[in-house]
Amino acid sequence: MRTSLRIIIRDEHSLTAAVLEATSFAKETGLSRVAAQQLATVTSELARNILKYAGRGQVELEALEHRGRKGVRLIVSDSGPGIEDIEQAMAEHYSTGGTLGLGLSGAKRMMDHFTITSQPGQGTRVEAVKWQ
Amino acid sequence: MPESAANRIPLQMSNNCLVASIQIDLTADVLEQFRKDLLSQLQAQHARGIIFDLSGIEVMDLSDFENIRATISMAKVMGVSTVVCGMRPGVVASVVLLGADTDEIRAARDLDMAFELLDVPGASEKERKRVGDANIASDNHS
Repeated sequence: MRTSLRIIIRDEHSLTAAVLEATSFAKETGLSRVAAQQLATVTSELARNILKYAGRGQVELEALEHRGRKGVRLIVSDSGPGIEDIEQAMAEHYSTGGTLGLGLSGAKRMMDHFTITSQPGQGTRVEAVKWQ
Repeated sequence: MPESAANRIPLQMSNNCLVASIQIDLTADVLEQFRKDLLSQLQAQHARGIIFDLSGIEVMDLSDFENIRATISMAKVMGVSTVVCGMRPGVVASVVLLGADTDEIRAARDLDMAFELLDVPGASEKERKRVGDANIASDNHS
């Protein structure tokens, strides 16, 4: 069984690959079908932001176990332009390029843990966890 | 077979409705080809309604959803309304939590309910199968 996985995001095909990998990785790790689908959707949403704003970045998946409970950590990062005002970007209806604002707040709702760090000019990093 | 044919979403007439069975992974290319196919079928054939069977979809993000919603709007402007059916719980939860605007989406639990929503007369399982078989038979003879 795989315990971690890394996928470079650079085009639509790699995005599709990342979504499929996230689904199978989550199922392998022991997440339910619905939880796996949600993790895959969040992966898709965040990877799409990479294509839209940074052009290139990566998706990392890691299997977790805490007191017998299984989970998956998702890290999506890029070295793109970054986000000026994270609070605003997380707000319900904020968007600079179509779906960003909605995607981020929705993605946060689907995960058990979600942190985003970004420096303008230095990229963006999202770390999120989904438990079984 | 060219690559585009393998990535096509099949469309078939059943009981005067155009049924799209979406069982492959969604990409921007697949959805664009699907839109072209659907709109040209609408022009060529007289359909009472459209049904999108989404039961095969595992993952749908906001831009996939928006793409499908735009296609439904286009079909509506061509005078034909669409019912989506069979969406899986995980997909439904995802699109709603992502904040997708689902207000104008007409949805049904399964194909039978979708035909009912489109108000297609005599759309029982048997009847549809018979009509479907007849269509295939006449296609073979033409």
